[in-house]
Amino acid sequence: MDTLKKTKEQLLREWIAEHQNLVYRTAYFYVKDASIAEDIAQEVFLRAYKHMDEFRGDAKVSTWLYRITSNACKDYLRSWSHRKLVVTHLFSPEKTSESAEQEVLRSLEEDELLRHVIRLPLKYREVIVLYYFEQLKSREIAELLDTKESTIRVRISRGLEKLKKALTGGDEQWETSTNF
Amino acid sequence: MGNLDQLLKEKREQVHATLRLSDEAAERLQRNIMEKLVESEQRPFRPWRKVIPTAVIAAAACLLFFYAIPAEAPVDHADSNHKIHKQIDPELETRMETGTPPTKGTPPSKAVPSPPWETDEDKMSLNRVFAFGMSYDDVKKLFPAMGELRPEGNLDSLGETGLQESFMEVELDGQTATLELNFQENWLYAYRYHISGLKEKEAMDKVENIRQVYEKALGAYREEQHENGKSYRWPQQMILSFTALGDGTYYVSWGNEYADIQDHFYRQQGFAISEALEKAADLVPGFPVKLGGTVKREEKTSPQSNDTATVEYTTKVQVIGKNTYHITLVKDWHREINGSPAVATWELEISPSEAKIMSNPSQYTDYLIP
Repeated sequence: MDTLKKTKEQLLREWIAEHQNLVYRTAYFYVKDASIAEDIAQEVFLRAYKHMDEFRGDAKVSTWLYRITSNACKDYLRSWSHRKLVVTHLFSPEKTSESAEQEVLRSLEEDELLRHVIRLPLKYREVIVLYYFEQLKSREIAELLDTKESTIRVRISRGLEKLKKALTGGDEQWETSTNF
Repeated sequence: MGNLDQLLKEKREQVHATLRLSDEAAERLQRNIMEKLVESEQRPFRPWRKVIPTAVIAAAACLLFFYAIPAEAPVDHADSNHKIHKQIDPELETRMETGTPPTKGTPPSKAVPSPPWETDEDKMSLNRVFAFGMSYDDVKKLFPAMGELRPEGNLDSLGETGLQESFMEVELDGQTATLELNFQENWLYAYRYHISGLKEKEAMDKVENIRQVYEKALGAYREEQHENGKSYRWPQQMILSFTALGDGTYYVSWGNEYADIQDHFYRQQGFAISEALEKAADLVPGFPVKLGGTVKREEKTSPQSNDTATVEYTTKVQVIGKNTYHITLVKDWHREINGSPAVATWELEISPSEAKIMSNPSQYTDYLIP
């Protein structure tokens, strides 16, 4: 295998250069926070490096990285750090000053369709993002999410229905209620 | 729908152009990764390999060793060949094998009987065992099976800011729950259980059961809807929540957390920790009146000498009931006298109507040597 001739570090540098935006973009759609997405990108490449010897050469590096990214993001979403962030937003919704990077992301959220994609429940959001924005086939998504292809197709279809509803009439499912 | 399909495809370029790392961020990413690699190569021992001096833990460690090998041992090519039958995320593979959160050199401990707990009721009453402000060592004394510390959220960047977490599996109501503790600068600020991989109905039933238990014990709660889930929050820093994960499974977590930002809410709805601490400060001054961390002061060890010691003041708070807190104030001289640590401890019980000292220290209050 050609890659064996390179050192692990060289290979990692190449992977970072080639796939950093893919990993960052994918992570952003999971965690919706630019700085956390950056942290996760770092974690993903470190995990990839650590397990590089287990990477099967005939598989696509990008698919492997999508999988590691998806899992790293789900770890994060399960973590207390994420829960704290949710709680903080609930109690203190005011925005602090925006960095240039946050402004770019805000402009993304100003696009009506993308805003609704970002607000989709995770189950639908991840398949819509992978299918439409990363152009993965439903079979590839099924493989990387360890799910049946038919399930992925159903999720894409339901995700589209939810988007359509949101665009036409509003389907805000996660408004904060305070019924103490 | 067809139109929407087309619209989404057309958004791809916009998404790719917008969601990309700036040159500066890309450079930072590469630099950080390379620095971490150098760091990890210079770190010869992993913390979970420390020898833990109890027979029980040694037995648990044997089991852990078996589980931890696939992710943590240096790759054995002969062994790894048969593992690559399917190209999956190796961290996930480890997690599937252990059924626990992912490891980073610090595998969560398997369940072993621990003295503070016997019944499910004991185990549900986390506040009877844990106090905000406990150190990791305090916890380890209570639960030797508690896993080693790792960066919070498994993210090194959070670990560098002093945020760490530790796990232990607990058999609860016929299921295995993971007990997660969160520390900031070695100061316990959250303790909770979580159960992953639940089906929707199972998760809803569990949440309902837990909600009823805590409603009976703690009274009214506030319900909060948030993305992919819902939370129930009690003024006693208790929160129960469930979250739908993208893979169709549900995640239920419950326990106590302390966050400054919620204090105004607790002050409105009940008797907040900060109010209890203000009352405690009237009885025993000098200790932190805000939770989170410790205070260090340089103090004379004796009225007759100029010798000084760095004395550490810590405030620990245990939620012992609706609007009642047990506060432990610890003054640690970080010295030993006759082979024992010189520590003065005050125990207080504070409620809206009463503040009383339950026990006073007999020595090391003002000086190390009177």
